[in-house]
Amino acid sequence: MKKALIFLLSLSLLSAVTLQDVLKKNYQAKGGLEKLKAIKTIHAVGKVMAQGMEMPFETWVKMPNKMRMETTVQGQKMVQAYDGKTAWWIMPMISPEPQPMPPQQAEQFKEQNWFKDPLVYYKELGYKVELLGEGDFEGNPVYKVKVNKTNGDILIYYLDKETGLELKMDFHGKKQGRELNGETVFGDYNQVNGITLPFYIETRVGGKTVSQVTISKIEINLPVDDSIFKMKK
Amino acid sequence: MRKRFFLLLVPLLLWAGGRLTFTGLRPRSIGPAVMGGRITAIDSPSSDPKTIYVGTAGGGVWKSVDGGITFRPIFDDFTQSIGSITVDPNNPQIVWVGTGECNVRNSVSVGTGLYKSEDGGITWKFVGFKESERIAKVVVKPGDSSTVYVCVLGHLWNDHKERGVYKTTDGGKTWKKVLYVNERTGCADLEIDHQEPDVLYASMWEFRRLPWFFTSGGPGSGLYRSKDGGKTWKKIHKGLAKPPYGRIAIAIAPSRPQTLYATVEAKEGGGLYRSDDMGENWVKVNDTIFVKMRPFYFSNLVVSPRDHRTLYVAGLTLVKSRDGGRSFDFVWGSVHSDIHPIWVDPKDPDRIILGSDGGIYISYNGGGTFRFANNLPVSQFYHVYYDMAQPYNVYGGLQDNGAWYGPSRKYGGPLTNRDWKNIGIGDGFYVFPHPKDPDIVYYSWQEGNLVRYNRRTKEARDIKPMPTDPSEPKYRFNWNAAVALSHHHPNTIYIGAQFLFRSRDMGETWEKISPDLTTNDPEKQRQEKSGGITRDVTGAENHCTIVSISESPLDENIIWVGTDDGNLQLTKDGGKHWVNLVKNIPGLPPHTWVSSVEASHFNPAVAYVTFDGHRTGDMRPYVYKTEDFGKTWVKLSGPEIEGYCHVIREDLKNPNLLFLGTEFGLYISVDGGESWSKVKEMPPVAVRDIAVHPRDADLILATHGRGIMIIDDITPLRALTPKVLQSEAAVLPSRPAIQRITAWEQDFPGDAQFYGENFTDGLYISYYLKRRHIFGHLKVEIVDEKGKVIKTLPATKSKGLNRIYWNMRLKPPKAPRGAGLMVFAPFGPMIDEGKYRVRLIKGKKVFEGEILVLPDPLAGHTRAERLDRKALIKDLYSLLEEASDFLNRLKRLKEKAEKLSKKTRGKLSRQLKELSDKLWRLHGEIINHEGMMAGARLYENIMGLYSSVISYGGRPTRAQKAYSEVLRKKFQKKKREAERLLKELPKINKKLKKKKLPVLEF
Repeated sequence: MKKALIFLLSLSLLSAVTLQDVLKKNYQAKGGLEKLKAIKTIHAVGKVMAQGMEMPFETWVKMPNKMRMETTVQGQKMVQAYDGKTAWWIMPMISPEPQPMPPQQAEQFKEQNWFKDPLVYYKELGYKVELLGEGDFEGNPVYKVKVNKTNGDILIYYLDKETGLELKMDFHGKKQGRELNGETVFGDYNQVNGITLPFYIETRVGGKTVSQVTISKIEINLPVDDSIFKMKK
Repeated sequence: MRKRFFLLLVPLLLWAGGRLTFTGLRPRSIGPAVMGGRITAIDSPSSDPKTIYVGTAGGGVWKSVDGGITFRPIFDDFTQSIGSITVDPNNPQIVWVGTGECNVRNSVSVGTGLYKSEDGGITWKFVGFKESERIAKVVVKPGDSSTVYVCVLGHLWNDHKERGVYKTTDGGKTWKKVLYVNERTGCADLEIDHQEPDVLYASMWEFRRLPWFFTSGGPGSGLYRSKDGGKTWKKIHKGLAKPPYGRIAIAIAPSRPQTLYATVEAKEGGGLYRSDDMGENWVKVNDTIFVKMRPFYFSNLVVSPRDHRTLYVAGLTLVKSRDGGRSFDFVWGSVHSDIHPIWVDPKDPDRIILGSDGGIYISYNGGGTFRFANNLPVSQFYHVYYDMAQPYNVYGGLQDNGAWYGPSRKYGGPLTNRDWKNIGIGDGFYVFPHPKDPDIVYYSWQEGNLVRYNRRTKEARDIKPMPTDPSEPKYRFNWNAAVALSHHHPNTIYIGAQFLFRSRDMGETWEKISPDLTTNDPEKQRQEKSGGITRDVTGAENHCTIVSISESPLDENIIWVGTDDGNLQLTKDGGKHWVNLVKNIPGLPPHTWVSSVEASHFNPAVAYVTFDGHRTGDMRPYVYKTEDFGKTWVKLSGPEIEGYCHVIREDLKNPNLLFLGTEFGLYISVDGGESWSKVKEMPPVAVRDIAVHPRDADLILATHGRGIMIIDDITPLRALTPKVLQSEAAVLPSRPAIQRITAWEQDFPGDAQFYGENFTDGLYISYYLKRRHIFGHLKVEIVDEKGKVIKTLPATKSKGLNRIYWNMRLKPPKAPRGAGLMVFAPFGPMIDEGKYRVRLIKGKKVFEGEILVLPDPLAGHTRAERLDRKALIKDLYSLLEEASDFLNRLKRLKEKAEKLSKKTRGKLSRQLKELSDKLWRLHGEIINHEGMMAGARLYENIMGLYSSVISYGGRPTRAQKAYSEVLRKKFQKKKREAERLLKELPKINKKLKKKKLPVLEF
C-alpha cells in the first residue's frame, strides 16, 4: 500500500512539469542562458529554396535591432535591411537604388524574431508566456509553449521533450484585416561557440512547405559595422 | 509488485512499437466546395461582425475574419462533428465549441465533448463531457464569462447519463448537472434572458435512434424554466399542446425578453406557440407545415433582435414571419433546402447567415436575396471511385448533394469549383464510370435508385431492379444500398436489396443471384412507422438489406456480401450457393452492420471485413481477415484505432499494406494489419471510402465532411518492409517523375474563390527516417549517370516518411546587372530525362536510391523533337548568358569612363564622356534601360524567344529557329560595333597612364 502510494506520488510529481522547467531545459539545450544572452552579432550564409528556385543569401544581425539580408536572384543581389529606425531594401528588378520598404513589408520584416529569441527575452519584451501542455509533433513528444506578443501576435513553440530544442513554431497574426498563419520547422542543429543553432529552417503554410532555408555557416559575435544597416541616400 | 512492473512496461512497449508517421505523405485536399456541406452552427461576436465562426456536420470549425470572403479551418486537431458554437458575448476572444451534431439523421456523427478557446480559436482546451456524444448549445451568462450553461443532448443510440443542462461558475473547470430527466432525454435547446440573466429556458427531448427505427418524443420531453440561474426548474406547459412532446425549440425575443416563441412537436396540437409572460402562458399562433417540418432535423427558430414580431424558422426552407408567427413567407429556390442554423446580426438585423445541408448563405436584406459562400470545402462524400483518364477524375456521391466528378489534378491549376460536374441529385452514394465507355456513368441515390447517365447528352436512365413477378416480395434497399462494378466484365454491375442482383447489360436486365441474404427480421422492418411523434418515412431506416458487395478480382464467381443486420455471405459459384460466415467470426457482437468487405487481389480465399456497431451505441472498431474463405477469422483491429470502422482496402501491389477508414480518420498498416498508424496530416474527419488508383498509385479518400483527399503516389509505402523500418534511414522508391510543361490560366477571381490543392508537377524523393533528425546535417543529392551531383536539395527531418520536392529545373540564365523586372527568366531548363541516383546524406552516412525522370506521355512529343527543343534552349541560354556578360562589361566600362571623365579636363575628359555616351547608347540598343514601358530591345527579344521555346515541350517552330539565328547575328553585329568603339581605348589609356589614372579595360 505504502509502495503504491509512493509510486502514485512520484507519478504526479513527474506530470507536474512547469513552464520554468521546460524553458530551463530549452536554454540548457541551446547552450545556457548566459551564452544565449551574450549573443551580440550573428553572421550567416546559406541558401533559400522556394517554389523550386534556389537563392543564396547572407545575413547580419546586430543586437539589439539591426539587420541586413542579402539574397542573390539570377546573379542579382537583393538587399533588405533595418537599422533600428528605417527598414529599406534594394530590389534590383525595380530599381538599383535603395528604397524604404513599403509599410506592410517593413512592419513584418521588423516583427520577425531576428533579434531576441522570445523564449529567452520574453520578460524584457513584455510577452506573456504559458505552458499549454504536452503534445506531439510528427511523432515526437513535445511541450507546447505559447507566447503572446505585445502586438497581439501569437507564437506556439513545440519543444522536443527529449532534447528540449525547438522543433516547430506556429505563428498567428493579423495584418490589414487578414489573418497570417504559418509554421516554422527547425532542424540540423549544430553548435557554434557553444550555442546550439538550427541550420535548417522550413516554412509551411497550411501544412505545405513553402520555403526551406539551409545554412552553411553561422558566426557569432564577429564585429559588424553599423554602416551596413543604414540606407544610403 | 507485478502491477507496478506492468505499468512501467506500458510506455516502453509503446515506444518500441513506434507508430509510423507519414509527414511527407500529407493528403492533398481537392475539395470541392461548390456544393458546400451540412452546416450545424454559426456565431459571430457582436462587436466584430466581420468575424464568423461556422460549425459543420463533419468538417470541423471554420473562421472568417473578413465577412466570409475567406475561411480557415481552426479545429483540425479535434472532432470534426460540431453541435454548437458560442462566442462569449462578454469577450469576443472566448469561443466555446460543443462537438457532436444534433440534427440526428441516420448518418450523423458523434462528438467528444466541449472545447474552449480564449484566443479566438488559435488554441483549444478540452473542458469536459467526453462521453456526451452531442452538445446542442452553450450559453454564457451576460456580464459574467465564468458562468456558462451547457445543453447536452447526449447519446442517440443508447441510454446514457451524461446529458441535460450543466452549469459552471469557474469558466469550465468544474461542472454541475442542474437539469436532468432520464437516460433517454437530453437537452435540445437552451435560452438565457439577457436582461435577467438568472432566467433560463430549457427544452428537454426524449429520442432514440436504432439501426432500423427512429423515435422522437416521449414522457421525458418538456419545456422548463429556471428563475434562479438553474438551481430550480419548473415545467412551463400551460396552454401548450397535450403531452407527450417531441422536440421543442425555443427563442426569446431579444428586444422584449418576456416574449417567447416555441415550435412544439406533439401528436395533437403541435405548432408554433407564443408566450408574452416569460412562458407562464402559451398561445398557439401557427400550425402550418412550415413550423412542423421534421422536428428531429430542423428544430430552430430565431427572433429578430430589434423586432419581437419578426422571426425566422428553420426547416426544409427558411420561413420568415413579420406578424409574430401568424403568417410566413418562404425562401425557395436559390438556397439549398434543409436549413439548420440561422444567425441574425444583432446590430444589423437585415444581415443574416444561414446554414443548410449545402453550405452557408449570406443575406444583407433580411432574406430577400442570398449569396452562397462557395468556398467552404466541407462536402460529405459517402463513396469514391476513379476513371483511367489522364489525369484521372474522381467520382462520388454526397449527403443531400447528389453525384459529382472532377479532376484529381490539372494542367494549369489550381483546382476550382468550376472543374466539378454535377450528374445526379438527392443523396448521392456510388458513382462509377463505365470501365470502357467514357460517356457512361452509373450513380446511385438513396434506397437503391440506380441511374445510368450519358455524360454527353445528360440523359439519365433509371435502372433500379424492380420485382418482375407479383409473387415476389418488395425489394428492400438500404439508404446507402451497395452497388459494385465487376472486375471482370465491363458491362456487369451488381446492386444489393435483400437479394443480390447482377446485370450483364448495364442495368437493362437483372438476375437475382441470391436468396434473401439478410435475417429478414420483421421486427426490424417497421420503417414505415418510423419517426415517433412525427412520422418520418424517407427510406433512411430501411433495414435487413445488403450494404456491401465485393466480387473477387481473381474469380468472378466469388462474391462476398455484407448486410446491415450483420450477415456476411459468400458464394463461390456466382450466386448458386451461399453460406453465412458470420458465426465463424470471434468476438463480434451479433447483428453488427457489415460496413465493408474487401476481397483480396492476391488470394481468392482472403478477404477483409469491417463491422460497425455505432448504431447500437457500440463505438469499437471491428476489422477481421480470413485466409480460408471465411472459415476462420483473425481480428486485425487493436486499441490504437479510434472510431467505428467504415472501410478497409487492400493495396493492389503489396498485400501487407492495408488502409482503414474510421469515423475519426485514416489508418495505415504496413504489416498486414498487425499494427495500425494514424495519418495525422489530415483532420480527424470520417473516412467513408477509399480507392487505390491502379495506374497512378494514388490513395483516394472519400471524407464525410472535408471532400476528397488524395495521397499522391503510395509507392514509398509499398516499400516499407520490416527491414526498412528497422534501418536508421532509407531512400524509398517513387513513381517516375514526369516532366510536364507548366500551363497557365488567366483568372483574377478575388479572394473568395475556393482552391483545391493541385498536384505540383516535379520530382519527388521519399525517404524513411527511423527517428527525427535533430542534430547535424541532412541533405539529398541528385546524381546523374556520370556521377556528377546536379542538385543538392534541403531535406525534411521528420520521423517516419519524408518526401521532398524539386521542380527539376537547373539554374536560370544570369540576368544582366540592373536589368528590369521584365527580363527576368524565372526558370532554367529542365534536367535530362533518364535515371538518376539519389543520395540521402545524414551526417557521415549515405543512403542511396534512384529516381526515373520521364517525358510527359500525354504531350506526345517524340524524342527527336524533344532533343531539337533542347538544342535550341541550350543555344538561347548561352546567348543570354553571353549577352548578360557583355552588357555587364559594357556597363562597367561606361561607368568607369564616365567617372574618369569627371576626374579629367579638356580633350581627354571630352573623349571619355563621348566614349561613355557611345557605350551607353550601344548598351541601350541591346537592352532597354529606360524603364519598364520603354519597349523591347535585342536582349528582351532573346529572352522572349527563350521563354516561348521553353514553354513548349516539343520541336520549336521554323520561325523560332530562324529568329534565333537572326537574334544571334544581331548580337554579333552589336559586338562588332562595340569592338569598333573599343579601338579608341589604347589611345585613351595612353593618356590616362600619363596622368597616373587607372586605365580602361573591357
